[in-house]
Parts: sequence; C-alpha cells; structure tokens
Amino acid sequence: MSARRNDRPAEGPSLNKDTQSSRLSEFAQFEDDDRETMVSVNDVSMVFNMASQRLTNLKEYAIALARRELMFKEFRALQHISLEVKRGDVFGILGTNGSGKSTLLKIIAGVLEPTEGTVEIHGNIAPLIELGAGFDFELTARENIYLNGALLGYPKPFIAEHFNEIVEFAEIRDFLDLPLKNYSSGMVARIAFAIATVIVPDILIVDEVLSVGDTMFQQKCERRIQTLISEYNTTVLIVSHNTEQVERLCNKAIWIEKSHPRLLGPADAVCAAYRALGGHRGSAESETLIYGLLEEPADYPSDYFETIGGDSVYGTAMRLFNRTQEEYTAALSAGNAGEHAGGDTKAVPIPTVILTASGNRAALSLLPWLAGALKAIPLVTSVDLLPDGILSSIRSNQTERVILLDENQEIDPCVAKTIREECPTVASLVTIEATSDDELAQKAFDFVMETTACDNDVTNGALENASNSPAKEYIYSKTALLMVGMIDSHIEAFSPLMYRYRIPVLFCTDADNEAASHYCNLLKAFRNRGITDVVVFGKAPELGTSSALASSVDGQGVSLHNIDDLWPYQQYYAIQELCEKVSSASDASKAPQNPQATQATQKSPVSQASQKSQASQTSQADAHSLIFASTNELADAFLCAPLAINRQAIVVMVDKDNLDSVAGAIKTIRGKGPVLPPFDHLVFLGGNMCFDDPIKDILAKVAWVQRETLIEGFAEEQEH
Amino acid sequence: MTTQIATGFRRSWFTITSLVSKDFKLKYRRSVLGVLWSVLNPLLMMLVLTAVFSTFFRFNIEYYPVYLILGTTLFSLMSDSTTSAMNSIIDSAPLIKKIRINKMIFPLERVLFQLVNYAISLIAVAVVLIVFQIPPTVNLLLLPLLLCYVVMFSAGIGLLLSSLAVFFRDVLHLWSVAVLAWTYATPLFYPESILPDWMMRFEAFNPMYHYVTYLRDIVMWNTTPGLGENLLCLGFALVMLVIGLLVFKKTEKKFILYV
Repeated sequence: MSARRNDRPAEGPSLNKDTQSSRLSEFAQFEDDDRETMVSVNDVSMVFNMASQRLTNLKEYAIALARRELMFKEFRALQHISLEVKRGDVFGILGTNGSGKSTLLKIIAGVLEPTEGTVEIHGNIAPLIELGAGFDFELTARENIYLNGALLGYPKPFIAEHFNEIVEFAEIRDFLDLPLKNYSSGMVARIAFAIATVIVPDILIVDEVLSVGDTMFQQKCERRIQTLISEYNTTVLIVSHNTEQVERLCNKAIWIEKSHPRLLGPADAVCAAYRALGGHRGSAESETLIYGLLEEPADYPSDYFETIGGDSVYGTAMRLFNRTQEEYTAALSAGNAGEHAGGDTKAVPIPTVILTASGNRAALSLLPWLAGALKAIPLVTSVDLLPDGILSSIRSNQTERVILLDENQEIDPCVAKTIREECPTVASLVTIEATSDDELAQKAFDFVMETTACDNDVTNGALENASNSPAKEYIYSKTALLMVGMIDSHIEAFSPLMYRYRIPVLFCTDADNEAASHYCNLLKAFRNRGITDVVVFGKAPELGTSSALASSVDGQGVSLHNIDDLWPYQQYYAIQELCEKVSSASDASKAPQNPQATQATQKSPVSQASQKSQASQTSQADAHSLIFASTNELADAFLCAPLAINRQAIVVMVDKDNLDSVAGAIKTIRGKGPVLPPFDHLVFLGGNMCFDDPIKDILAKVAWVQRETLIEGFAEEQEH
Repeated sequence: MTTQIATGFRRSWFTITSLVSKDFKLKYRRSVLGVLWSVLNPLLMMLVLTAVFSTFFRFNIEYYPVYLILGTTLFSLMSDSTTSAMNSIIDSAPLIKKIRINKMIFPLERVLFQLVNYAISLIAVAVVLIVFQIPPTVNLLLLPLLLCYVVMFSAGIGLLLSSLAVFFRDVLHLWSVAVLAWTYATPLFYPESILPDWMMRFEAFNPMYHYVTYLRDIVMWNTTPGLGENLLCLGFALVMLVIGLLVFKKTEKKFILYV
C-alpha cells in the first residue's frame, strides 16, 4: 500500500511520516487534490420515521391519522455528512454499531435514498454490502453463481465467460454441483466474494465482508481488492470495525459517531483516534473539546512525554521502581559529587520495600506515607503469588527489609515464602496484618512509631535527595487524612503530598452506631500523637455534617477540614498549604536542621513557576513534570509518589474511557482552579489499558500549548 | 415512461428468467413425480369438482369437465400470480435491503412463473379435450393473445398488491378472502344461465368473467371473439397494469423503510 501511495504525489508525502508534527499538514493537504471525484456526498441526512414504521396495519394507521400522530418521532440516522472520494482512494468508514455507517454506505450504493442532501456517483458501483444476497441454499453452486450474477445485474454471457475465473477464485471446482447448503460458510463467502469482484467496477463498496472466512481467504480477498486498486485504479469504500484493516487498506477515512461525522482525514490518524475514543461518551461539551483537539496541530517535541508502563500493574510497578532507583542514584551522585567523583553508576539500594496487594485500595493509600516515613519504596504484589518482575526488583535492589501489608489474610502465604527463600538479602520480613481498613491503618501507624523510635538508622537519606536524619516530628506530618465511609474522591492524586509530608491516612469505615464514638477515639488518638489538623474525606451521614462534627470535636484539640467541595487541584493545594503551615510552625520552634529540606518543602510549584522566569531554563531541578495515572489502575498513582516528588510533579487521574474525565484533565492543565506551572515533561503511567496514543497526544498538545503560553507570560512579566 | 420501463425490462429480463428458473427448480425439488404435478394437479382438481358438482348440483352443461378445467386453471393463473406477487416484495426484503435492484422484477417474476405453470397445466387441459374428443380449431391461435391480457391484468394487480402489502400487511389477509369471493362470483363451476339478472349485469364488469368466457369460446365453442370483446379484455388489462405501475413506481422508494 505504501508503494501505491508513493507513486501518487498529489496525495502528499506526509502520509508515510509518523512524526507527530506532520499531523497538521496531513489534514491540510487532505483537501487539495486534483484527481477525478468518484463519489461526492453533500450534506446528506437520513431520517427514519419511527412512528409510522410501526404502523403496519390499517387500524393503527387510521387511529394515528385521526390523532395526527403520524410523521412524529423522527430518528436521524445520519446528519449532515459530506465527503468526497477521488479516483483511486481507498476510503474507510469507521464507527460503532448503530452509528449510521451502514446507512451511509447504502445511500452511496443507491439502496437507500437520502432524506436530505445529494449523492453523486461517477462510474459503476459494485456493492459488497452483504455477500451472497440472494443465494439459495437449495440450489447448487453452479446455479447460484448464475442466479447471484443475475441479481447483481451481470449479463448472462459475461457470467459464462468468467465462470471459470469465479470457480478458481472460490476454490470450489470439485463441489460445483453440490447444493449450497452442504457448503461451509467460509466456502459460501468465497463464492460470493468471487462473484461480486469478478467485474472490474469503478467503485467497490465493501461492508464488513472481509470479516468472514478464514485468514487465508481474508488475505486472498484483500489481495483481490489490492489488484483492483493497483491495476484498475478502482475506488474502494470500506466499512469495518477492524481498524487495523482500515489502516492497512485505506488512505482516507471518516469516523461517524452517533450519526454525526466525527473526524475525516488520513486513515491512520482517524483509526488511531477511533481506537482511543470510538464509542466513548461524554457530555456534549467534553466531546466538542476533545474532538476539536484531535485535529489540532501537535508542535510538542517528540520526547515531551514518556510512558512508564508494563503489561500489567506489576510491570508498571517494576518499571517505576527501576526508574525511581535510577533517578535517586543520579541525584545522589550529583549531590555527593565530591565523594563519588568516579561517577559510580551502581544502583543505590533502597533498603526497605513496602509490599501490598495491588487491588486493595485502602492498603495502597497507606503506601505513600509509609514509604515516606520509613524511607522505603512501595511495590505491589498479586494476592496469589509474587510476580516475577516484583521479585527481581526486590532482589536487584538488595532489599534488607520487606514490610507486607495484609488485610484479611488476602495475600497468599506463598508470597512471604518466596521472599524468604529467593531473596537472601532480606533480613527481616514484617507482615502487618489486620481485619479491616481501620485496623490496618492504625497498625501501620503504630508500626511506624515503634520502628522509628528504636531504629534511627533507617534514615540514611537514600530516598529523599534533600533530607538527612529527620527528627521524630518528621516521621508524620501534623496533618492527617481521615477517610470516612466509602471514598469516591480521587485521593490517589495526593500521593506525592502524602509521600513528601508523610501524611498519615486513617479510616473510619464503620457505619454502625458506634461510629461516632469510634470517630472521637480516633481524634483523641490523633491529638495524642501530636496531629493538629485532619482533612476529612467522604461523608458519614450518622455523624452529621462536617461543621456539626467540627463543633462537637472542638474540645479534642484537633481542627477538622472538609474540602470535598473543592476542585481536585484546589484540594491538592489546600492539603499542601495545611502541611506547610503546620510544619513551618514546628520548624520555627527549633533551628532548621536542614535548610535545603525546608526550602524544598516550602516551595510550592506555583511559587516556583514564578521563579522560573528568572531561573535558567536548563536547570533540571526546576523542571516540573505532570504525571497522568489511570483510574483503571489505582496502584500506579500510589506507587509513583517517590518519582513524582523527585520530578516535582503533580499527579492527574484520568479515565481514558470517559470523555468527561479527559476533559477535566484538560481543564486542569489549562489552569481552571489553581494556576499550574508550565510542565516540561509528561509521564503516562500504565500500558495501553490505561492510556492510548491519541489520548496522550491530546493531553501533550494541551500541556505544550499551555507551557508555551505561560513561558511567554513570564517573559513579558520580566520585561516590565 | 413506457420506453423507460421497456429498457429496464430488457435489462432485467435475464434476472427475471434466472429467478423463474430458480423457482421452478425449487418447486419440484424432491418430489418423485416432479413437474408432472403441474399436470396432475388440475386434472385431479377437475375430477373432484366434477364429482362434487355433477352429483349435487347437476348442472346441465355439455362437456362439464372441460368447462370446469378451463375456468379453474385460468382463474388460478390470475389468483396464484396475484397472491404470490403480493408477497414478492416482502419476501425479497433481504435482497432489497442489500443490493440496488429494480424492485419491479420481483412481482413480475412471480407472475411469469405462474404463467409457466399454467403452460404446463395446459397439458392437462389437452388431455381432457382429447378424452372428450373436442378437436382443436383455428381459434386456438387466439390463446396467446388471451394469455397476454390475463398476464397484464394479473401483473397490474400484483404490482398494486405487492406495494400495498409492504405498508399494510392487512392486504395479505384481505386478498385471500377477496379471491375466494371472486372465485364464486365468476361462473367457473356453474353455468352463467343460473345467475340472476342483476348478477349478470355485474358480470359485465368482472374481467375474469370475460377472460374465462373468451377461453371457453375459443376452445369449446369454436367461436371467434369479436373486436369489441378483444378491446374490452385489453382495456381491463391495460387499466389494471397502469394503476399497478403508477402505485408501484410512486411507492417503491419507501419499500426499504418498511420491509
């Protein structure tokens, strides 16, 4: 196919380039073309009348007529479709079931008449809308070839002349006089295809027919179509669900969704967009936003974003682990350049690993702060066994201590066993067991208290590039998160904060009558541990509104914050502000042990953004990243916390299947809510299940444009 | 318009004949006697009706079996072809939805197929004529002309019914009743002499009465129908055909939405 494209200069050279920046020119060049127009569809709409279709007897008809209900309930199967197919084009029509693509094809084939608009056809059409239309299974293949040929309008001498050709193509020589009912469906499809393509049409219409038969036959059909295209310059229209096929065969494509034309352009671009967004729904506003962005030019450099993702959540975890380790090693050797003058590239081991089940959201949400407090690195395991990738991460890291969070003994004992047997460096394997989220969180808290109290060696500074020997106050922040009842907000996005400020997470999932007292006990425990601020997520109706709660627990010495109403990144900054306030207050009471650390803690991305105008752009330390994590794989977001802190990144949760969610992410980047810094680098977590290329492309476009705008703004500010 | 139809018809002729031969092959598939049934059927029907009517009613008609078989076969040419044409569009819905095809082919093909059947059943008629020793006359040469009238007439009704049936399936049920009534209103089993006066006046407007009489005239009574009679028969056929064509042409674009 590429050879064919090449020998037609009018189509533009950009089709074969896959660099992102050529997308604009593709869409632009798409229009100007001086080849002969074969099919021209102008503003075609198709309206089916639902009401009158059901009236198939006279009585109903009379009643409806009397009630003047006729002609109501219109169903618009197609709305304002316009397209032009030139000679030699292979034009793909994509769309989900019921989107109207077959209706369009039938209109082009002349089977249906459009309600509005016009269709002009130049040349004869061979419609393969459904193969074998009019086959009679009682008749023999020979008889059916003549019958079907007759129905397709072939003259009798023509069929006689090409009879052998058809039989050869269909490979049915030995069964010619057998009734068709004794044939396999694949053989029937072969005959049908052979008959339909024996003529050399100007325009060939193919509707899903290539999805029948075995692979050999499908390839044969494709070759036949290719021959028609290359030797006879036939124009082809193809409807298919199989985007790969469309990509392989077509040079142009249209994507129709909900009877509207969605995207018209080069086949590969349309296919990629369709694969990512086909069938996804959202509000009209989100759809307009996202589909509009699809066609916008992509100017961002090719290394603007990277994807850290494996085949599964474990693969992603392993890659995140490796990446984090690399970056710490690099940061450490840069920081201690004097000591490691040789540029020792050996990975620096991170002695503690925290492991939990990848599906337990409560346990996962404890990971960031435990990792922060214990200088550990978080990892996930399957409940049935320890995945190979995770095992090799633990081993290659020369891990000394593994902490396993296990709720309700969901993790099979073989996981612990594997670690003991396969990882000789692991000196201690601690399992924190609990029967509920609440208990797990508390036990984890107690565990942190105990270990850090008696074991100050943990703080060897490997994990945070800008900290050393934190005092006990730093093991957890004075701000804590409390999850009440079921949590539906995306706390995953706060994982970098939870990791950096070591924000403890506790749960109050009991919804029974003792909840209130349990809640008070929790607050007392908070106060006893020196926590002054608690951010409450979720609602527990039996506890009353949060303001009522706040007044009832005022005496407990802990102030409650409810930020449920805020936009997600306002929540992010609200939590950050709380942590800053509390930690700077405690810092003021004593001499800062590590000015660098304090500075880093107090630098919010926003203030850094304004500093950026002065700072040299090449400074790697000042670059901000944006990490996209998928709501399909919550573990990714929790696991990326160390990486996010290292890269001064914020995490945005996106559900790629929900256009509203994608639109929300776009608005976040564009600075609805808090103004975000320009992002110099984007990271997408997870494999293709989490993000696919067009989504990445859209988000990268938005982030890049926003970055350019912001930097321009800084430059202007600087001039004044 | 007629030239349009003519060219369309020429182009569709191969399609029609292919469909007729398909129908023909399918009709006699797996039956031991095969095509012989087209001969046997009218003969056996004639025997039953002769037995019934000559026992109970004792019509005083010369060559009653001949009288009977001529009437019933011609009438069933009309009734079978209209009924089967009526269903033709609905039956070929899958085709209509899939390929671009002249839809008029389907009702016309059904009529033509019934004509072929009729031609075969003429063997039965010949057998009866031989048994009763009625010699063929030169008037028999008018038979093709009559068949033209009947086929045009039936095609007209078939086209009309096939398009109506797409929109109102009630037509399917109504038509079988109408055909039954028409069978009894036409002197097929009984002599026209038993009809009351008002009924005879009505028969003047019954095309099937004219066609059946025409057939009996040329086969049994060796009578040459006059020009007036021929014009009348042609008139019925043409009027029906034009009505059928107009209705069909006007509605065929909407078929695909309703079948």
